[in-house]
Amino acid sequence: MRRNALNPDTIGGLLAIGIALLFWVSSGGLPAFEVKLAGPSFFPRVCAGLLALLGAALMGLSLRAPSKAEHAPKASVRNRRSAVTVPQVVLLSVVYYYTIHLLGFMLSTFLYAATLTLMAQERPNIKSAALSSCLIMVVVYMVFSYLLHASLPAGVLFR
Amino acid sequence: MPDQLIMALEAVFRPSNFLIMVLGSVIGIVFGAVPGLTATLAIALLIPFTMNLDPVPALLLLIAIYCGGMYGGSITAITIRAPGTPAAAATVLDGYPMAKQGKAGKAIGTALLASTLGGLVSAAIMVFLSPPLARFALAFSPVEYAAVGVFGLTAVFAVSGKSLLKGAVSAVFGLLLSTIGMDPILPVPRFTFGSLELSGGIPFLPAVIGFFAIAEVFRLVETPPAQREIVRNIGSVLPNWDEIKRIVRIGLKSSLIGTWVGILPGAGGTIAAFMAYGEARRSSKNPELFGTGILEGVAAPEAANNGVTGGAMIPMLTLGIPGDAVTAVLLGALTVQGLQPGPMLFKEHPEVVYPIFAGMILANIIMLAIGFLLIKPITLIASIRKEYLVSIVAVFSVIGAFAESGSTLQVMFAIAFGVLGYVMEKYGFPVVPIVLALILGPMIENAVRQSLILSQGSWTVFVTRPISAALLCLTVVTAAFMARRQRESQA
Repeated sequence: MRRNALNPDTIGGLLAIGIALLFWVSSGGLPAFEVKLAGPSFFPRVCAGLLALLGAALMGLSLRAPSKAEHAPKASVRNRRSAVTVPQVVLLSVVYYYTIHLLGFMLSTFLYAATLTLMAQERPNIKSAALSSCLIMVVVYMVFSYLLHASLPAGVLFR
Repeated sequence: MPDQLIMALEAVFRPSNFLIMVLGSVIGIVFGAVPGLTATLAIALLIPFTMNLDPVPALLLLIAIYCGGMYGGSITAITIRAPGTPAAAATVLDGYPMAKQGKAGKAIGTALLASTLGGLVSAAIMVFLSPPLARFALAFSPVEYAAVGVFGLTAVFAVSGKSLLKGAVSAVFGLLLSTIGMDPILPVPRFTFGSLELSGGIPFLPAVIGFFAIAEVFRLVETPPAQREIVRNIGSVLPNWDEIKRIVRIGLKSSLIGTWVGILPGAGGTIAAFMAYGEARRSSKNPELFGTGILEGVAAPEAANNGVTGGAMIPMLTLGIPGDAVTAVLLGALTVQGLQPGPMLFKEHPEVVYPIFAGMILANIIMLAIGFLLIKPITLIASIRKEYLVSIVAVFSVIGAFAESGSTLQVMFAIAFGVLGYVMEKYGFPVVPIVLALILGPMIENAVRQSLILSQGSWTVFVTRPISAALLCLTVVTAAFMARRQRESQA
C-alpha cells in the first residue's frame, strides 16, 4: 500500500511543531525575572517544547504506521453535501456578524436563522423557515428585553 | 453548620429560585434527550444569560440543568436507540430491548427513579465530604496547588477518546493558549501580537460556546438525518413495588460507583455508566439476561451516570479542578459570577456553597417530578427536525457569545473557535482537553512560578513536601492506569 505522507496526522504534527515554534520564538522577547525559572517565558517555553515533541511523535507514528493514520476521520472521503455546506455555514456566520452592526440584532438574527434553516432543510420550505425564525426572534427579544433588561444593537440603518 | 443549612434551605425554597430550578430541570432534560445536544452545551449556552442573576439563582439553574441533562439522555436511548448524551450509551443495552417489548414507559420510569437515587446519594456524599476536604485544602501552599493542577490534567487521559497522543497535543495546545494575555506576575503582555482584545487572554465563554455549541452546529449540518425506528407507544411509566425494590437495590451500589468515578478527574458519566453496568451484570444471579431488556440493565447505568454529578462537584468546589467536561464549564460559570472555586469559597462565601448543596438535593427531587410529568412531551421534542435544531443552537450560540460582554468581537471569537473545534474533532483531536487546559493552565503556571520564587528556583520543593509528593505520585499512577485501560480497550 502506497504511503500518503501528507495524511491528517502528519499535517497535525507539523502544525503542532509550527505553533510550538511560534510561541517559543515569541517568548524570546519577554523580560527576564530575578528567579530565572519563574519568568514570563518559562511556562510557555516548557509547553512549546512539549508540543513540539508531541507533534514530532505524531508525525513519526503516522509516517511509520499509515494504517493507524487511516483510522483518522476520513478527510479524503468527499461527502459532497458536507464539503459545500459547512464552509457556507461559516461564511453565513461571518456575514451575520457584520450585518449585526448594519441591520441591528433582531433583523440580522431573523435573516440568519431563516437562511440557516433553509440551508439545512432537505426540501427548502420558506414558510416554515420564516415561521420558526420569527419564533426564535421573539424568544430572543423577550429574554433580552424583559428577563435580562439588556439592550440589543439597533444597527446603523435603524438608529 | 445548622445555621448555614437553614439559610440554604431558605434560599432554595424561595419561590423565584424554586421556579428557576424547575426551568433548569426542564431545559436539562430536553437538552439531554435530544441527540446532538448535551447538558454541557446547555450550560455553555446559558452561562452568559446567568450573568445578570445573583450567584445563587444562577448556580441553582445550572445545577438543575446538569442533573436533568444526565437523566434526559436515557429517553432517546430507550425510544430510538440513540443516547441523547454519551453517558446514556449503556442504557441502550437493555433500555431499547425493553422498549421493543412494549415496556418503553417502564424503562423510562426506571431510568428516572434510578437517576434520582444516584443524584441524591452523590449529593449527600458531596455534602459530607466537601467541607472537611475544603478545610484540609486551606493548608495548601502554591506547591500543593501546582500538584493539584497537574493531577487535574490527568483528566486528559479519560477524555482523549481513541488517541492519547492527540489528546495530549490538544491539552498542551490549550496550556499554550492559556498563556496568552497579561503575565500574572509581571505586568507584561504575552503573545498578544499588539492586539488589545487579546490582552485579557483567550475569552473563556466564547471559546466554550465555540467548541461545544458552534462546532456542534457544523456537525449537525454535515450529518444526514439518521433513519431510526422510533418506539412511539410509551405505555405505563410507573414501576410496581417489587420493581422499585429491585431498582433501589441495584441503584444504591451503582450510585456509589458513579460518585467515586465522578470524583476522579475526567472520568465522567460514560465511564461510570459502563462500569456500573458491568458490575451489575457480574454480580447478578442471571447475567445472561443482561442485554435482553431487564430493569437492572437500565437502573445500573442511570444511577451511576447521575451519581457522577455530586462526585464531580467535590473536586470542583473544594480544589477548583473540574471532574468532567460539565464541571469544567461550571467552573467558568463560577468565575463569571466573581467566585473563585477552591477552599476559600467555603470560607468567604458559605452563602453560595450551602445553597449549592441544598440545590443539588432539591434538583434531583424536582427532576423526578418533572420527569414523570413530561415523559411523553419530551419524547416528542426529542425527535425535533434537524434544521430547526441547527438554527436554534446557532442563534443562541451567537447571542450567548454576545451577551457575555456586549461585544460583537466575542461573536467572532466564538465562530473562530467553532471552526477550530469542528476541524480538530474531525481529525481526531478532542477539544475537551483544550477547555480543561484553559482552566487549569493559569492555576498551574501561577502556582509553579510562585513555588519557584519561594524556593529560590529549587524544583525539589515539589517532591519534598509530602502532600505535593503524594499528589504527583497519584498523578503518575492515575495516568499509567488510564493509559493502560485505553490500550486494553483498543486491543
